[in-house]
Amino acid sequence: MSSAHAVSPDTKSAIKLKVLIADDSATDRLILKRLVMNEGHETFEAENGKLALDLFSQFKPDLVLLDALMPEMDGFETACKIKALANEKFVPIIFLTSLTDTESLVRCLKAGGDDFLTKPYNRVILKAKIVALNRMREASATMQQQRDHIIRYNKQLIHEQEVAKDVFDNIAHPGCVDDKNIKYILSPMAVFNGDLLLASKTPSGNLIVFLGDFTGHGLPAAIGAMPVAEIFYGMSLKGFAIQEVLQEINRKLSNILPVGVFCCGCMAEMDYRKQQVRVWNGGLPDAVIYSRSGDKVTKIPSFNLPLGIIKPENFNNAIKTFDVGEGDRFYMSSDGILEEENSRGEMYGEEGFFRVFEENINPEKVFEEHKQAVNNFCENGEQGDDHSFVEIVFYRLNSMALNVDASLKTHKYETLGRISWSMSLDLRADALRAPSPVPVLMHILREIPALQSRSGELYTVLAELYFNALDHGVLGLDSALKSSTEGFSKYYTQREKGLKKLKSDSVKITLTHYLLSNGGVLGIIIEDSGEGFNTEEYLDKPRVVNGYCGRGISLVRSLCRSLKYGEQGNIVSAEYQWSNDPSNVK
Amino acid sequence: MPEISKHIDEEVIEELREIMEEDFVELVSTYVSDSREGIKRLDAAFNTVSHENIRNTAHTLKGSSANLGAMPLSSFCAELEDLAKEERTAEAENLIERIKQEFSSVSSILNAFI
Repeated sequence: MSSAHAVSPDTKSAIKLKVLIADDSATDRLILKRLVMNEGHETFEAENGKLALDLFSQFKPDLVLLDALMPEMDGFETACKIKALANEKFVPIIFLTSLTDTESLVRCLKAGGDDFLTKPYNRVILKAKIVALNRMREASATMQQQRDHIIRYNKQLIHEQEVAKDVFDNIAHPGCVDDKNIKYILSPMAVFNGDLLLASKTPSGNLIVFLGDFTGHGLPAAIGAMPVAEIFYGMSLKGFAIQEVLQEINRKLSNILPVGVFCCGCMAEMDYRKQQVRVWNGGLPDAVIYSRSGDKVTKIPSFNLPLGIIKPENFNNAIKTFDVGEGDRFYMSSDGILEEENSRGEMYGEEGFFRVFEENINPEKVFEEHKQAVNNFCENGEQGDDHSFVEIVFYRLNSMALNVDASLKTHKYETLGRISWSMSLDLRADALRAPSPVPVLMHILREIPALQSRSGELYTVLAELYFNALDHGVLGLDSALKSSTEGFSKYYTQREKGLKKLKSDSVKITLTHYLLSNGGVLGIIIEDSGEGFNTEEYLDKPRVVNGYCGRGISLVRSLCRSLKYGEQGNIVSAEYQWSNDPSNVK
Repeated sequence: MPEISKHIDEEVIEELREIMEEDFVELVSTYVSDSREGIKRLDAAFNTVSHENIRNTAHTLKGSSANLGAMPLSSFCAELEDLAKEERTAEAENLIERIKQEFSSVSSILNAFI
């Protein structure tokens, strides 16, 4: 045995630990105390288990030396209670025992003992055990510190994400998706949803919805969603056409998104007046029109690359137009649904998705049936990707209901007229090629308080008359082309070509605001540089309103007090009248 | 004076003296007086046939004796502890007598150390 001096400084441990000694033998306590103190530690002694627990609670020692057999409370029970008191903190317990049978040693370990020390005590062995157990204790404490640090960090991160989400939700809010005719599910996988659903009413009362699915999830996906939402709401509320909104979103995303990040999306405009749906699909699964009778499923597959990939000059913003009627249903979904996998590794797929339509009997229940079918397929397990699904039920916006009160129509225009202001806008070739001037005009017209609630009707009137003047007057396009889907794209191709060729052509818009005693009249005169047409023949023909063409003018006629064409057909004059009587405000 | 090596491991005592320094005397006298009390409790427990008390007392005496290097005394106590565990203390009269004799040798040797 070593005979080195026991208290020489170099044999002391670097760290001073608090050591609890519990032993009923005074002799053993004296020896242990001395051995432990000589290593530079602090000791607390107890002669039984109960006292040991008291001291433990009071001094929170780092290490416990515990005799197995003691009066009052034996070492096994004491060990259990000490471990419970220490909770998560690792406090090593060394059993002091001369017990050597396996059963007793197992009991010590089960009670929470970490090591043994047999009598007679050996200084060197005790020191080695204290050092080893202290190392374990430190490792455990470090681990817990790191774990607590991670928990704190994670909490902070979630808090930051929640704050960011508030900002995000304010910008990328879902707009009017809570309208009665819209149903949707959005299933976020993190705080942020990789899917984006936006819905907005245009000034003319149309509904524009956009479902986007960014590559990736969470924050990176959400960041791309913010400018999309800004552009979407900014432009759709001002009355820009969805082609223009898409063009702008694509331009923005292709500028800001890194390579490999893009947005699959589908945008659709529900034109409740013209009873049409206009759709652009870039990278999302087939959009669907489901007939009110439940017997026809029209698939609208993606016909473009996702947004944010193609350079603005090559972007194809052409839309597809479909005739719909009241009660028809329109669906968009993100690929999350189709990519759902069940426990057998099978994919839900298009097959599962369209089977729901095939098996559906009552179209009003098809949305719920879709939800149920996906749930059944996944056996109510975890959802894989973000998955979103939207249903819009088409309705008819009764243009008569929006119309000016019938009694007003009998007013004599001449008896009331007092011009408030008049303005005219002369649009030349470059301006005609630019996006529609109607939103700008609407901006001015909304300055008239009574018109704010009527901007939908006014927008329709202005847009119809302007596009008639441009498309048919200036460009000479045949609206009959629009009676078929193929004709539609031909129509737009011709339109693009025509716009490029414009030189000295023009469209002149004159707006005159007359004040009436209880309202006002807006006079709209639009004159184009085209050749005109035989107005008598055009206007006297019975209107065909089943095709894509012809609905516009009859709609304008129903909204306005009067609508007149000049003899040559290249000038049109409309009067839109309103009452300030609040009961007539729509 | 009994022969030291038959009753006590001198190396253990020497190391204890080093470790305990000025407390060595206290250690030895604590051991001697506690053990004397212990042996009295053994007698009483034997007379009342309390296996439990005999076992606990023998266990404590076994441990502290080993710590003081009194190995023969420690192993007699271990024997007694085992008997008590099996509730065979009726057979322990001779063993207790030997423990008393051994302790008297150990204590006289230890008293000489201090």
